[in-house]
Amino acid sequence: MEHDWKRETEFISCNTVLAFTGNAVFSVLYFVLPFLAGKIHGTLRPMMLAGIYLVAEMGFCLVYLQLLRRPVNQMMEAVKRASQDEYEAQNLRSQAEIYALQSQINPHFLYNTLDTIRSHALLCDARDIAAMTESLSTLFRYSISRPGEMATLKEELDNVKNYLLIQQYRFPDKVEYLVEGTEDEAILNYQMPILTIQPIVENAIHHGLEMKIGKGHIKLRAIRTEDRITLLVSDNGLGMSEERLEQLRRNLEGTREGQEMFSGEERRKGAGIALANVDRRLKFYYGRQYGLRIRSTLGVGTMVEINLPFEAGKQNEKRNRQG
Amino acid sequence: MKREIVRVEGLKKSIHGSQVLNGLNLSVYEGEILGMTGLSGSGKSMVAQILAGSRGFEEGEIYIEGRRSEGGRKPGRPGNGIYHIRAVPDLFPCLTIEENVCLMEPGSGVGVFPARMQLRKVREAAHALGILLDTRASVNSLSLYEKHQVSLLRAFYLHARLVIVDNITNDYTEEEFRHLGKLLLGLKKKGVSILLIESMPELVTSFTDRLVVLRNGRDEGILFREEYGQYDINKMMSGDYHLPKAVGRVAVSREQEILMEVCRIHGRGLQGLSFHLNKGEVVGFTDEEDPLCTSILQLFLGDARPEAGVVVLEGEPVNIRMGRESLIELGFGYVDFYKSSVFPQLSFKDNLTITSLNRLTSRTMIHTRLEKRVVEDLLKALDFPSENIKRPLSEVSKREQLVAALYKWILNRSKVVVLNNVLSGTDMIMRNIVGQFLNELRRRKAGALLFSPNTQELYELCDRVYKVRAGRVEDEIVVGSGEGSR
Repeated sequence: MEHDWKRETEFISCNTVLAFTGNAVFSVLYFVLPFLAGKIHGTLRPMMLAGIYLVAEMGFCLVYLQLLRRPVNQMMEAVKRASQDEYEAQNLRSQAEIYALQSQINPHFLYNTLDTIRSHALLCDARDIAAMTESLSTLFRYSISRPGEMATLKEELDNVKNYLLIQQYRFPDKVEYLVEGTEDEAILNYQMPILTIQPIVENAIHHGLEMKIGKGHIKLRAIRTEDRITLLVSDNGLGMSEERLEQLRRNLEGTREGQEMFSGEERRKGAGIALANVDRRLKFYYGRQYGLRIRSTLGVGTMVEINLPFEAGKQNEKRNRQG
Repeated sequence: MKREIVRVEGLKKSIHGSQVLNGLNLSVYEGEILGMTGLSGSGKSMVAQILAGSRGFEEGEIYIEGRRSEGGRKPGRPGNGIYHIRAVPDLFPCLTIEENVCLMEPGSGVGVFPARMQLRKVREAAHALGILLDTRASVNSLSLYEKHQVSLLRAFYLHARLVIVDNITNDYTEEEFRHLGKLLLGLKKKGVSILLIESMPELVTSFTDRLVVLRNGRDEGILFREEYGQYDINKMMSGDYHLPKAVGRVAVSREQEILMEVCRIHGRGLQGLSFHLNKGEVVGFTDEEDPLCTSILQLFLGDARPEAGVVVLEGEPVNIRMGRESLIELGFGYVDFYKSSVFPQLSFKDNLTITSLNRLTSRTMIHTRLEKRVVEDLLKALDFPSENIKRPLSEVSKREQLVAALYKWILNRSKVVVLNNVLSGTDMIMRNIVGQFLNELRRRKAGALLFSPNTQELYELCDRVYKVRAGRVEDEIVVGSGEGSR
C-alpha cells in the first residue's frame, strides 16, 4: 500500500512557514525595540547584541533542522525504496522476457511446429504422442506468451494438469494428483501471478517423488478465509533433512548465506531457485507477510504453503480491468 | 469460506536464553478441533500460554478474529474469547459448580451469589453440552475429569471462541478420555473452536480435524484427518533425531523365584488381597471401580494400616506399617509423577545418589569420587551428556529429570520399585526411557509394581496384570508380546 506523504509534507511546510515567520518577528523585536527605546549606546553594546543574535539564530536553526530530520529521512528512505522497487520490477519483467528470448525460438514457430507434430501423430494414429504434444503446446502458450501477467487460479490449476499429463507419460502411474477446496467460484476466479503453482508441483515431483519407490501423491488444498487464500501443496515424497530445510528457508528469506549454501551443481539444477523465485514475486506483488512457507520431514514428505491476500472488491476490479 | 478465529505468524519466544518458539505459524478456524502434538520441549504449552495471554512473546503477530492482538511483547490481557484449560483446574473448591461458572461472568450478580437467571442459564448450558453433573454440587467433591468438565462448561457459558485444552488427560482412564472426546465434539457443534494439546499423538488424533506437529519450536507438519498416520506423525515430531524403536519387554523366564508375596491383607478397602511378584518381573493392577487401585498403592506407600495379612520380601516378613522411609531401607523404591520424584535444586548427580548414599559411602573414604564415577558410568550407559552431571535438575531437560527419578532406584539396588502413574506427562521418547528402566530392573532380578489408570499402558509394560475387584484379586492375566492372554 502506498504511504500517504501528505501529512509529512504539510508538517514540513507548516514548520518552515512558522520558522521563517517566527524568525522575522524575533529579528525585528530584537533589533528595532531596543533602538526605539533608545537603549543602544556605544559600539560595544551593538556588537554584544549582534553576537547574542547570532548565537540565538544558530540555536534556532539547529532546533529547526532537528525537527525536520525525521520526516525528511523518512521521505528519503521512501524514495530509495521506490527506486529499488522499480529496479526490481524491471528486473522481474526483464527476467521473464529474457527467459522467453533465451529459448532462442520464436514462440509462434514453436507452436506451429508442435501443432504439425500433433497432426502427424494423429495421422499415424499415435494418440499418446498427439495428446502429449497438445499438452506441451498449451504449456508453452501459457508460460511463454504471457510473461509477468496475472492468471486466475483456474488457469493455474489447468496449467498444472497439463504439466502433469506430460509427466504421466514419463512416469506412468507414478503420481496421483488431487485438488480440494476449489468448488467456490470466488476461489477459481482469484487473480494471481502467473506460474505460481506449477513450479511448486514440478519441485515436488523432481525432488520428492521421482526417486521415491512406489506411487506418490500430490495434493492441492485451497482454504479461503475473509482476508486471504491459502493454497497447500503437499506431497508424500522423500522430504528433506532439517539441515536442508533450514538452507531452503534461509534462501527464501533472501539472505546471502542462504543463497551461497547451495552448491554450483544444485544451483544449476534449480534447487531452491524456483521456490525462491515464486516467493519473491508473491512478496513483491502482495507484501512481505505473504508468499511461501515450507514444511518438510525426511521420509515423510513436504508441504508448501502459498499465502495470498483476498479482498473481494479488489478481485473484481482486477477482473474488470483485464476484461 | 472458513472463518479464522486465531492466526499466529512468526511467533518467537525464548526463556533463559533458550529459543522455545522459533517462528511458529498457526491458524485455528471456526468450529474445528485442531490438535497439537510434539515432543517434550517442542513449545506446545508455551503456545497455549501466549494465546491465553499469560505470557508475552518477542517477535511475531497474533490476530484474533482478524484483529491484531495488542498483547504484543508484554503479557497480554487474558480474554478475547480464548480460554485455557490446564491439567490443574483453576476452580474454587469451596464453591459449587454453578458459582464457579458464574463468578467469572462480567457484571455477574451481587457479590458471589449468582442471580437465579444465571443459575438457570448454567444448567441449560450444562444440559446443552451433555454434562450430567449436579450444578449445585461442591467442586471439592468432584473427580479430576469432572472438574475439567466444569472448566469447559465455564468456557462455553462465557461464550468462548477458542478453548485451549492443554495436556489434561495425563491421568484419565480410557472411559474418561472417550467422554472428553464427546464433550469436545459437542462444543465444536456449538461453533466453539478447540486447540487440543497432547504429548501423545495417538490421543490427539482421535477426534481432531487437523493436526499441527511442533518440532524445535516451529510448526513442522500439518496433517488433515484423512492423512493421519502414526509413523508419519512420529517422524514429524522427531525430525532427523533417530527415534529408538519402542522398547520391547525383555523375555521373562516362567521358572522365576518369588521375590515378594502378599498374603490375605485385610483393611482399608482390601478384603483378603493376595498376590505374588517374581524376580525380574513387572506386574500391574487394574480395577474398574478404582483405576489407580488406590488401596493397594497406599499399602505399599506405607500409608495403610492393614488389620491382617502379611507381606514377605525375599523370604523375610516386612512390616508394611513402617512408613515409606523405612520401606526404602528395606528395599522398596518409589516413582510418582517424575517431577515430584526429584529435588529440582539439587544437581543431577545428587538426585541420582541421594537414596544410596549409605551404600556408596559406608566403608570408604573416597565417597565423592565413587559417587561421581558411578553416576558417570550410568550416564554413559544411557547415552546422556555427562556435562549435565553438576547442573541443578531444574535446568536439565524433562527426559533427564525422568532418568534421575527412575535410575536412583537402580543405584540404590532396590528390590521392588512402585511406579505410580509414571507415564503421566511423558512423550514417546520418555516412555521408551521408562521401558528401558523396567528392562533394567528385570535384568537385575528386581521387581516392579505398576499403577496406571490406562489399562493399555499396563498391558504394554507389564508381564502380568492382576484384575482387582472389591479389594481382592479376581483374575490374573499373563501378558504375551503386548497382548493379554491367560
